[in-house]
Amino acid sequence: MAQNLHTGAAAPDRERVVEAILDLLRSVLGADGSAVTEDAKLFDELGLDSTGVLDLMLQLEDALGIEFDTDNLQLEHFGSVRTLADYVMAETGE
Amino acid sequence: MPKLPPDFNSRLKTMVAGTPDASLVFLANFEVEEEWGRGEQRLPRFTADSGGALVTAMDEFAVLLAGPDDHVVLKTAPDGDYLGYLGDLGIALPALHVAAPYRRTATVTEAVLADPALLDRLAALGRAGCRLAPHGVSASEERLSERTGLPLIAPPAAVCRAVNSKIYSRRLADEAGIRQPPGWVCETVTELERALPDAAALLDKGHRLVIKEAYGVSGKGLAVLDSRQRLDRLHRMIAQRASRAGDERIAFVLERWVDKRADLNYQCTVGVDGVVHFDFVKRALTEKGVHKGHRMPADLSAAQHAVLAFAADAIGKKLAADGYFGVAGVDALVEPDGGIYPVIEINARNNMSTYQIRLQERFVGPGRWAMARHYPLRLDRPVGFAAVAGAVGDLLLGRPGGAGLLVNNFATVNAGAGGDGPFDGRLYGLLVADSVEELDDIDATIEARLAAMKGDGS
Repeated sequence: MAQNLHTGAAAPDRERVVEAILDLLRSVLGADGSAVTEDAKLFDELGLDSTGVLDLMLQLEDALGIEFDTDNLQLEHFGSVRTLADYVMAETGE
Repeated sequence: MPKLPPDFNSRLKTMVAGTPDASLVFLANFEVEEEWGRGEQRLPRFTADSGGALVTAMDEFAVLLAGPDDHVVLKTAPDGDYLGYLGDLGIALPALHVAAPYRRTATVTEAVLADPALLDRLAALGRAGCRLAPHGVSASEERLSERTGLPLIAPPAAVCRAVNSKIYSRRLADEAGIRQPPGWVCETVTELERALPDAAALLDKGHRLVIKEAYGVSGKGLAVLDSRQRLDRLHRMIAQRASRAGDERIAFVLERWVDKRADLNYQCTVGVDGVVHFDFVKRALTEKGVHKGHRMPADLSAAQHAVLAFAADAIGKKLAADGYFGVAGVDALVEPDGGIYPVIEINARNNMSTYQIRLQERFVGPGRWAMARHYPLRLDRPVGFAAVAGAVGDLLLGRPGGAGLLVNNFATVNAGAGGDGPFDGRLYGLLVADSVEELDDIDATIEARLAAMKGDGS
């Protein structure tokens, strides 16, 4: 389970998570956010590579104020914006 | 010292096997680092499935490193039209031995070890005096040597593993007085924690840091850190994982990130007698931190060359003193002001560049330019060499002295096939031209022609 660093803060809502992911894809990968859908494939369509995953993960933690349990992270969580958002929601939910 | 043969194949044999007439069995087990790094803590990293199939198909590079008196073991038989093309170029090919059955993501060594009939054939080669020349030696290649009786022309796996650690590279550079970025070796969590205050001070001065796995493949297993927050996060992650494993032993290097104008890759060969030969230097082409290829010549000044030659000699001598012999590649970089950092990491094994040497000797003469790279392909179904050659058209290199693309690995094109839907492939080749401009023109045209190809036979 991810650790919420903001004591007492509510878990991020899904809309905010998706927006944070899209913002990061724009800055990390130079992706055109307006053209990216929730089903866009991060590796195949947006050019994420194995090194970029760690960078994306760390930036997502910064943006959302959470810390992932890296032992739980799997490749399939980085399949698309949707799978990544689902993972973040599951990790931060009660 | 006796004069060494000018061509790489004969020189290598002279230096590591004692005679230019040795018959070698080449085995290109790329990413042997995966075996060397087994059991070490890694940074989170994720590789798509086709990665394993594609990387293990890089075994086909060995076909163009071996000479006509040598042997190559492969996971899969090369495309017949591709072999015909190489023959038409006048390249004398080695004897090829293919493992069966085809195992998509197995390493070439695993594939050979699982084929009793091939092991028998290799044992016969061992009895005939052949020797085993892997890309790099891990416990698996030692097992293959034991199973077949083919003696390795390489040091034991334990030596190879030790000298391929980035921790070894840093210590060697310190001992030899070779300039390197400020940094720390971290073999325990405590050592990492001791380095944190000084590392944080570098961040405060506006520098970036990079943390690398000691056994990471070039461009993978590293993270660039640009804030104390990131540094602290990585520290927590590593300490937490070590604590869970109940083992405070880790293997990372932490160093200042150095701004660069260019990456370089140079190679030396270390003889069993400790003699060191500087083989070449190339300018690396990278895209998004991932290695894409090399351009040669490296376009360096005489002074820059001298810095690399000095470092190569010092590295080779130290490797020899530590029991290593064979090929060693070194990654270096040129700073924006032209200064050289001669050692970023040492790869005491064959490198991608190693497999281009024979082609360079034959097809890239003095005054000419070459670029080794790969073209990413997105295919709907497997394609044959004839279809790819048709797409490249008149820019496929047809003769020595000509300009165009010389394909040096075709197995990687279709290796990713076998799952559902489209797959990723790579076409590796050496572009040859008379100028950098011509090289870039040919490159751009081929890229456009290949992008139009989908694997439907068109």
